[in-house]
Amino acid sequence: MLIRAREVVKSYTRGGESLRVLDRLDLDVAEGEWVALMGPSGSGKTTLLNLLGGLDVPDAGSIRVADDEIVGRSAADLAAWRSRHVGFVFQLYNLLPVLTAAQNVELPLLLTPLSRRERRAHVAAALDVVGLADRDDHLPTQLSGGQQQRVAIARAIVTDPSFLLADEPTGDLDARSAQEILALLGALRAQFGKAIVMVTHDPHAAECADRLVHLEKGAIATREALVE
Amino acid sequence: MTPWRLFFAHLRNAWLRVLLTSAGVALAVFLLTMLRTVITTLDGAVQAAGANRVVVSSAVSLFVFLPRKIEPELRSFPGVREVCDWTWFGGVYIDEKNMFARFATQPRELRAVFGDRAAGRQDILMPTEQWDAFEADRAGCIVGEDIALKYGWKPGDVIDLIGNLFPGDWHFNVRGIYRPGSGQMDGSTMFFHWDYLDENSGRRGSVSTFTLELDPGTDIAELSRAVDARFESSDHRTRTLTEAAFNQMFVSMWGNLPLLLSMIGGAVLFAAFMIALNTLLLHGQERRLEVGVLRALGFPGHTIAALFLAEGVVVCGAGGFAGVLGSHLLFNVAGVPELDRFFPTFAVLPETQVLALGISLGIGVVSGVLPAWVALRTPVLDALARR
Repeated sequence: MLIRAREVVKSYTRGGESLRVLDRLDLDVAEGEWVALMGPSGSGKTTLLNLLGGLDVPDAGSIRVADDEIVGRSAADLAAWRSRHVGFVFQLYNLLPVLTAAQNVELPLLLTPLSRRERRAHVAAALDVVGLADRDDHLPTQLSGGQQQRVAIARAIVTDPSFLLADEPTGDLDARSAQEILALLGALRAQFGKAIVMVTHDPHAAECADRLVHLEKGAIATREALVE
Repeated sequence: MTPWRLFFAHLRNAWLRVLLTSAGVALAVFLLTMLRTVITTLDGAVQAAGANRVVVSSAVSLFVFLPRKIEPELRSFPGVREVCDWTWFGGVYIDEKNMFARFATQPRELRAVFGDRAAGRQDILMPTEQWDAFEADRAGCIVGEDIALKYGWKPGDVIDLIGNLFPGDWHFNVRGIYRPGSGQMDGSTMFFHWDYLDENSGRRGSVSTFTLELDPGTDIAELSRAVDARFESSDHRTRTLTEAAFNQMFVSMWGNLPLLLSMIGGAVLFAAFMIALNTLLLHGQERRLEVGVLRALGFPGHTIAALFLAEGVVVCGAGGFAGVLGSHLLFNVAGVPELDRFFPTFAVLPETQVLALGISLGIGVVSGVLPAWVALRTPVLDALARR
């Protein structure tokens, strides 16, 4: 099992009141598995995604990734771990507007010991995978929404992470672009065997996953296998 | 590895903001160096005083003359090696705007105390033949190299002055052009024969001050007390000060100018600091998402802080460098005649330039650290959510 979350608890304090967002949640994600998280707003799906990616820490419980416990690590340690193991895909792409597509994709590689030539080769390969090799010198503002999300996906995969976390990756795209991004994620999973955990509100997007997990009030309501 | 490309991209992208912020710092540093140079110029005159010289002037006022006939008495004090009198002439050269100091003196004594026959440091540097020519010509004069250059004088020229303290038309033959040998002397003074002044102004027999050069080891305080005591009951009471104290007295005539200038300089710098800090803080606010993305990707806090710090240091450092360069070119290379009238030795010192550069870099560090601190304190999730 790639990801094994156990008894995960997370609460936030809002207006002086403690609000439990995740309540003793368990979740397993296998190598190469694509899991879609659905649920109403406030059900805890994005919080779970952030905890799995080490962007936030749980109040209690355990999260093991490839048998490594990530709960209890220092912020610096967690940052280093993220750079090696997690590829993030955000709803609003979060590309840096002052950098070109290639420079955005290269960013995570600056944390690796690769030489400049090796980094260039990795960037070219990643952009080729997402079909934007000819747009490498374009600024984000010169790209369509779908193209920007592809660049973001190239940035997420360029370091060959253990898994991808996608927070509503098609939420800001038109239907056609959304379909292309989902197809790209599917191809990545098939070609490179990357596990994907994706938060979505879109039932069509969720159908692309192997497994659908419904969250309600911080707990898993149903688990549904979509692929035999 | 620090993503320096981001740093350059931001400088390029926000070039107008960078330019304006740097210009603000440059202007502040320029003003700081100018104000600081006024202080160092005034202070330099005090510091450059001869250690073994005292100045005797009237106890009533610097503008009250002393009789020259007391010179033998001054010479008679134990420890006095040489005596040189100076008399302020005033006068106008063509136009009142042409301001430079003019003193009547004894050429032989001037030479013995300040020139090539001085026992110690030579404050006035001039070839021996020019000293000799000056001594030999009763209507002769010597001028500093700065005013010689400014007015195009050379040995053999005639300088015409219109007297005011000593009325009449005065003509002097340029016999020498000197270079200052120390900070005690500037290159903008004219010296001529006291005898020439005295015989053409009705034999007044008066001088402004006497400079006493003392033998090494002389008790200066004791000698000063003795001189003043000797003339205490006469109608020309004296005040004897070390040359440094005498120079300081001139500085004091400016009132609390150094303090005022320091306060103005401090206020200007503080304003520049606030401008730079505010600009970089705003820029930092606009880059919250960028910081969030970098942190999500795994960049450590110190790497992100380095980006902010570098921006602050480069923007303010460039401004500081421009300010220092500007003041150097203006005051040290080109020169400002209006300033030279009041401060003949006005020049920005290297230590002032280093200080100004250091301060601008310091402003840059603080202006970079604070936005970095604010950015890194923001939780990653808040930054990513643009909260």
